[in-house]
Amino acid sequence: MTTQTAIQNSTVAVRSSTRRRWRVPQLSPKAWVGLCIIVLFVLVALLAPVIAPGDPTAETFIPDQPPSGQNLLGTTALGQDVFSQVVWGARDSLLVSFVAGFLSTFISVLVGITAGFLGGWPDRILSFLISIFLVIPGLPLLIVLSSYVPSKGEWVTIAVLAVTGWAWGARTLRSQVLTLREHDYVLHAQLVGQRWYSIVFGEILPNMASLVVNNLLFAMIGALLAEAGLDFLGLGNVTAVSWGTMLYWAQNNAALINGLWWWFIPPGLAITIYGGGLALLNFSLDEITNPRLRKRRVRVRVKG
Amino acid sequence: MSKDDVAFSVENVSISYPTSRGWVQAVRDVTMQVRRGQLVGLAGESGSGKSTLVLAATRVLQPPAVKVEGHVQIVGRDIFKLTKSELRTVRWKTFSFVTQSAMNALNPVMRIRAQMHDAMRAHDPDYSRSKADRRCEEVFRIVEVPIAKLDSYPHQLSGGQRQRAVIALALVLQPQLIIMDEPTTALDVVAQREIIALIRKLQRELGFAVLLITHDLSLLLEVADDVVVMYGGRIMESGPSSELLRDARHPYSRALIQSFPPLHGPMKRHEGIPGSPPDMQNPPPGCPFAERCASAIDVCSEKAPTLVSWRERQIACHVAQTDVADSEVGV
Amino acid sequence: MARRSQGWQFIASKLGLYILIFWAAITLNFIIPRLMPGNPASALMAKSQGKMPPSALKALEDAFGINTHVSLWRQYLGYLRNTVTGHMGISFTNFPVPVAKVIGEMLPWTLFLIGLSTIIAFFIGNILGLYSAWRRGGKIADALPVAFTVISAMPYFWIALALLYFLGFSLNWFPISHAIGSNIKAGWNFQSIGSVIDHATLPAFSIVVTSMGGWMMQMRNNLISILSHDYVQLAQMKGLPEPEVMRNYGARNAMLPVLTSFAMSLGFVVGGAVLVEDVFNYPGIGYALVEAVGNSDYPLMQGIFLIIVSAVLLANLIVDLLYTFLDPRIRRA
Repeated sequence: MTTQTAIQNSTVAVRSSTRRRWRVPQLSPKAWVGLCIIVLFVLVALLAPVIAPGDPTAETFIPDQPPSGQNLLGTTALGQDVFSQVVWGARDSLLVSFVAGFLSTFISVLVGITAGFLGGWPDRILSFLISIFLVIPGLPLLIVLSSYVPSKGEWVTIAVLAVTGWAWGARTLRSQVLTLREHDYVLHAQLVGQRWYSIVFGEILPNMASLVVNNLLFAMIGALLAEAGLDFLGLGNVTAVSWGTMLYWAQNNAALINGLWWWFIPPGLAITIYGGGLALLNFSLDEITNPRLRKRRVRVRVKG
Repeated sequence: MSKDDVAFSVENVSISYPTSRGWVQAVRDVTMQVRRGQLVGLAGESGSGKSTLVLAATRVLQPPAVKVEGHVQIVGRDIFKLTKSELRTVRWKTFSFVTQSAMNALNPVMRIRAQMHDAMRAHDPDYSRSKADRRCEEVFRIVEVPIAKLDSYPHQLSGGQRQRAVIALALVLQPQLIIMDEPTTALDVVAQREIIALIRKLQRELGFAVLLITHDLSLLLEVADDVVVMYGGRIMESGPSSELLRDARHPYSRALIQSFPPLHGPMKRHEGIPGSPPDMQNPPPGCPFAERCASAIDVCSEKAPTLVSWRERQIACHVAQTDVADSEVGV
Repeated sequence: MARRSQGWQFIASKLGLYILIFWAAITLNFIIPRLMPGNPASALMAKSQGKMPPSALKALEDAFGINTHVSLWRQYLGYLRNTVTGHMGISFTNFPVPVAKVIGEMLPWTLFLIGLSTIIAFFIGNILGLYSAWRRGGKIADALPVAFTVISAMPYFWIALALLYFLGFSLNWFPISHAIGSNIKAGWNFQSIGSVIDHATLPAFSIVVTSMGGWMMQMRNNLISILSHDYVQLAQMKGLPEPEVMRNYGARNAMLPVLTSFAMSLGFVVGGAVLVEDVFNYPGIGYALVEAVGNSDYPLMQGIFLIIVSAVLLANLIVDLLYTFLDPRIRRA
C-alpha cells in the first residue's frame, strides 16, 4: 500500500514538474545557444533558394577570387560561388545527419529494447550482434562498405551510416531497459497483466526518453562527421553539393597549395558550428538527465 | 559537570541549505550533548534533519552546500574554528564515523587492511607497517571478524562482516567519540541485533562515547543512556531513555515507539505513523508535527512550541506541557 | 586459488566471445562483396583485362568467386583456411607484392603516429578530466567540458587541412606531407628521427586536439559519479590528505571503465586515422585503405579490414586480462 501511494505521489510530482517545464522551458544558456544554431541552420537549408538564388555549381564567376562584395566567400578554382555552395551544402549535410541519425537511433532503440526487455536467447543473440558492430571500427567499415556499393548517392550514404552507427546506442539503451525492468512500476504493470506493448510504450520508453534524445543527438553528430569524411574521400556522391564534397573538390584542385583558404575554411567551419550546436544541446541535456553532472553542486542528501 | 566531561556538544545550531527556491532550513536551533563514555541516541524519521545535523556539525557538509549557525564542540575542540588542516588531524583521531551503508563505505578496489593503514598513516607521524598491522589485527579481533579477512576486498565479506569491518575501522585510532549513522539499515534483523549488542559491549569496555542515529526509537530506548527525538528539524523530546521508555510524553515519541516492535516483549500489531513529514521548503507556522498529531489542539498549528525542561527531560509540545503543568499542580 | 581459477574462467569466456566475433567479422568480409549487385570484382576485371597478368586475374577470380564452379561453401572454407593461415592474397596495385607485405610496410608508420597521438591524447584528456571533476565549480574546470564538447564536434581532417595550410604551407614551419624527408633514409640516427618527428607533428596535433575531449568527458563523468559514493566521503572523514583521496579512492575507481575504452582505441590505432593520413599523405594503414578503395584493390582492402579487426579483438583481450588484476570484483563475477 505504501509503495503504491509513494508511486502515485511521485508520478504526481513528475507530472506537475513537466507541466511547469512546458510553460517556462528550463534550458540552460548553453542549450539555448545550441538550439538557436540548429534552428538557424535548418532555416538556411530550407531557404537556400532565397538566400543564394541560382545553381551553386554554376561556373559563372572569375575563378580563384578571394572574398569580396560580389562573392561573400570568394570563388572556387572553377569559378563557382563558395557562399552559395555553403548555403546549398547545408541541405545535403543536414538531411544526412537528420535522417541517418534518426535511422540509427531507431535501430538502437529497437535492438536495445528488444534485447533488454525479452532477455534470454533473443538478448544473447542481439548482444552478440552489438558486440560485433562495436568491435569493428566504424570508419574503415564505412569505407569498405561504400566502396562495394555500386551506385553513389545520399541515400546510400545514409543507409551505410545507419547500419554502422547504431551499436553504441543499442548497448546503452539495453542496459537502461535492464535497470528499468527491475523498477516497481514495471514489475507492477507486468503483475497486473499489461500487454508487452503497453509496458514498452507506456512505462519503459517514456522513462528513457532523455536517453533516446541524447542518443539521437550523438548519432546526428556522428553521421554529420562521417558523411563529411566519406564525401571528402570521394566515396559519396561527388557531384552533389555538400560540405564534405566541397572539401573534396578543394583538396582535388589543390586549393591548399594555391592559397585558396576561403574554399576549404568555410565548409569546415559550417560543420564545426552546426556540430557544435548539436553537441552543446546534447551536453546540457546530459546535465539535466544526469543530476550528478549538474553544475551547481548541492551535495546535501537530506536523509535521516 | 565540567567541560572536559563532554564528548560532543551542539549549541543553538541551525542549518540551511540552498535550493532553486532559496534557502531551506533543515535544522532549527538544536542544542544537545553527548558526555564521555555515554551512548546517546538521535531518533527521527528520514527528513527529520538528524543526519544533516551530524554531517554539518562535523563539517562533512560544508559551505556553500550548507549554511550553519551555532557552536559545536567535539572533545573540547571548537569545530567551526578549526582550520582545514587542523580539522583533518582531528578527524578520525578524536571522532570517527560509521556510515549508513557499510556496502558502500569501503573502497571496492582496495584491500581492507590498506584502507585501515591509510587512516593510521595519515595521523601517526611514527607510522610503522608492523605496528599498524598489529593494530589492525587487534581491532578485527575486537569486532570478531576472522583476521584473514583483513586481506580481502570488501565484496568478499558478508554484509555483517562488512559492517563489523567498518566499525573496526572506526576504532582503529581509539577515538573518544564514534558517530554512527544508521549503522544497521542494510542488515537483516538478526545481524542488526548482533551489531547493536556489539556496539554496546565495546562502548562499555573501551569507554568511548557513541552518538547513534536511527529511526528505530524502541531500539534506542533499550540501549542508549540518553535519547534525543527530532522531527522537522527540531528537537521534540529528549531525556534519559529509562524515563522515555517508561513514560514518553511527546505524541511523536509515542508514535515512533508504537511503529517499531521492542526487542523483547509480546508480539502485537505495529503501525506506521500516518501522513508524511512536513515540506521543509514551506514549513508550517506551528508545530511541525501538528498535521499528523492525533492529540493536536488549535494552538498547535498556530504557534510552534518551545522546548521546556521538565524533570530530567525536555519537551516541545503544547499538549504535553499543559498535561505536565496540570500534574505538577496536582502533586 | 579459487580466485585465480575464477579469473581464468572469465578470460576463457571472453576469449570464446572474441573468437566468435572474429569469425563473424571475417564471414562478413566474405559475404559482403558477394552480396553486392554487379560483383565489383568482375567490373574491375573487365577494366583490367590485358593490363593485368593472367595469374593476378585468376587470384582475383578465386578470391571473389567469379568464373568458378567451386561451390560457395567450398569457397568459404578455402577463404577461412587462407585467413587463419595468414594468406591474404596478392595486392592488385602493387602486383605481385603480397597483401601481407604491403600491410607490413605501412603498419609501423601507423603504429607510430596514431599510437603516439592516442597515448598523448589519453594522458592529457584524463588529467584534464580529473582536474575538471575535482575542481568542479571553478571557472576553468567548468569551461573545459564545454570547450571540448564543441571541439569534439569538429571534423578532425578539416583541422588537419587548416593546420597544414597555415603552419605547414603559409608559415612553412612543418613539412606538409609524407612521414619522412624524401632524401633521408629511415634509421636510428638523429637526422632521421628528427625528420620523422617533424613530419608527425601536425598530423599528431590534429588527432590529439580532436580526440582528447572524449577522454576528458569520460573521465570527468566517471569521477563525478565516483565522488558521490560513500567510500569517498568516508575517506575524507578519515582525514586523509586530499590528493590521497583523489588518487586512491577517486581516480582508481574512475579509471577502470576508462581503461576499457583505452584498449579499444589502441586496437583502433591499427586502422589508422584514415582521414588524417590521407590529408598528409602519411604512408600508414589508413592511407593504404583509401588508396586500395580508390584503385579497387579488393584483396588489400580485405586484408586491411582483417588486420584491423584482429587488432581490436587482441586489444580487448589484453584489457580483460588487465582488468582481472585491477578490479578485484571481476574475479568473482
